[in-house]
Amino acid sequence: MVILTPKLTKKALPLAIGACVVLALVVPARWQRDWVGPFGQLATLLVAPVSGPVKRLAHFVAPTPVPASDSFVGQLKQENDELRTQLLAERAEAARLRTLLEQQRVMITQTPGGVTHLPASVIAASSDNTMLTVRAGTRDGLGAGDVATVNFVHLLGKVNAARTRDASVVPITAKNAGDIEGVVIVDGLTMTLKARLSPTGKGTLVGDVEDKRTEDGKAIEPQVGQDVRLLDNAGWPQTAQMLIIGVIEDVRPSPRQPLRKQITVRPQVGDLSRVGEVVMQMPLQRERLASEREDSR
Amino acid sequence: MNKLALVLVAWVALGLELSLRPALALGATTISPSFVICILTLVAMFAQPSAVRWTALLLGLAVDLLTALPIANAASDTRIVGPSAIAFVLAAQLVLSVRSVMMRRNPLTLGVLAMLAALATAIALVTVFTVRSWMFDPIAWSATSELWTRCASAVYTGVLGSLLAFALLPLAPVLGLKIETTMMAGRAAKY
Repeated sequence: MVILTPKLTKKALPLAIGACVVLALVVPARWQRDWVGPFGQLATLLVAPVSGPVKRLAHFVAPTPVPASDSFVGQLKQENDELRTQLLAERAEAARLRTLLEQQRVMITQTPGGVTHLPASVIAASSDNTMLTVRAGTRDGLGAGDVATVNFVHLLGKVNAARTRDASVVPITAKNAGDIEGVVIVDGLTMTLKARLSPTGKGTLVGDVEDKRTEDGKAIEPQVGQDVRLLDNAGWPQTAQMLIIGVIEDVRPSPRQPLRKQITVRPQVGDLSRVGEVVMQMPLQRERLASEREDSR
Repeated sequence: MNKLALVLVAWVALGLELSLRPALALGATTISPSFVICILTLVAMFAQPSAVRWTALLLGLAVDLLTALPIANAASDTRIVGPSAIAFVLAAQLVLSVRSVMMRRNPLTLGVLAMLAALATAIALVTVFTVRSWMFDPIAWSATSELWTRCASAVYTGVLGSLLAFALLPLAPVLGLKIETTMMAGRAAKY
């Protein structure tokens, strides 16, 4: 626009619009992904000086109701949540190992101790709440598949693409996040109900819980307010097991199976797309490599 | 037109678009206003037609590059160049065609035109992505839900445009946009 003469502009504009029409309507996304990605990354980087501070300011003005950790009670609750998560994770790990031992194929590749945490600020969120961009990337040791949490114990989502300086995180409540398996904590740590949860795209997850009965045949039913935690060995790393997905907001008969209950779960931290800061979980080994690379630089 | 000033304003608008839209969303919905369309409308109200089209095209390309679309049934995303660029050019063309009959110095005009531009953008984008989702792209897309959300967002953009007009109209001379002196000038000075 600046350097083109009026004559050139006259020809260039229809050509540019024509090129956009072709790209928009004819060229499949899979052919654009490779070459558009770096430009998108650059654009995000250029806009970050504005979007980052404004996002933080918006978070400051209208904070997500993350459980308070500054007050004494808040700190105790935070510690309690952390210990509870750790204990449940240990129990889940123990149960998993017991099963593995029974099946005589013990293949432990990762332990909960082999993970490190990296705080990262959220610099952008997609308008349809399906993606968050965090200021941490491969140079910090982050990789695709790493887990994002809020306050270490609340599950936020998974990294789907990590670039040099930033990464995209898909929140578990995003409509494209896919199903996750969790357990409803019914009675302390002794009684749980399995549930397969699907995101609704409106900040909640919905799914049927298993039909489980006590010894005297009475059905164990989930209640509003009970915690739901992650227990999905197939889709999530071992270190993410027993992180808090949310609390039960609604219980109703399942439309598919009348004998079962359908639960609606909402994350305790509120709208996951409005979170200002996240804590990334990543393998310790990768973090070491990243810091060594940083030192050598 | 002062291109440097326009680039700066567009940069800020793109930053606000990325960061503030989720915060301004109505409740648990994704109905939120667009800052970029407000800027585009301002330019389309006062600039030369060719400059308006170029601005629309470049702003649209920037929005395309910043928009990651979720892939259906996979925790992955993609960026597609073109849809917003076309939609913005169409929206700018709509504003160009009606601007001569509008009282352009009235803040409400910016709001109304921003709403119309956002509606045109919404219809164009939903059409393009619906065609793409039918033809060849496995994007997570629901035409009805998207159309409803984007139309509601267009109304919200109109409201935001009316409010932003109080800041954007005085900014127009800085951007090198010529606001013609009309009989309405006296009344507009109040704003």
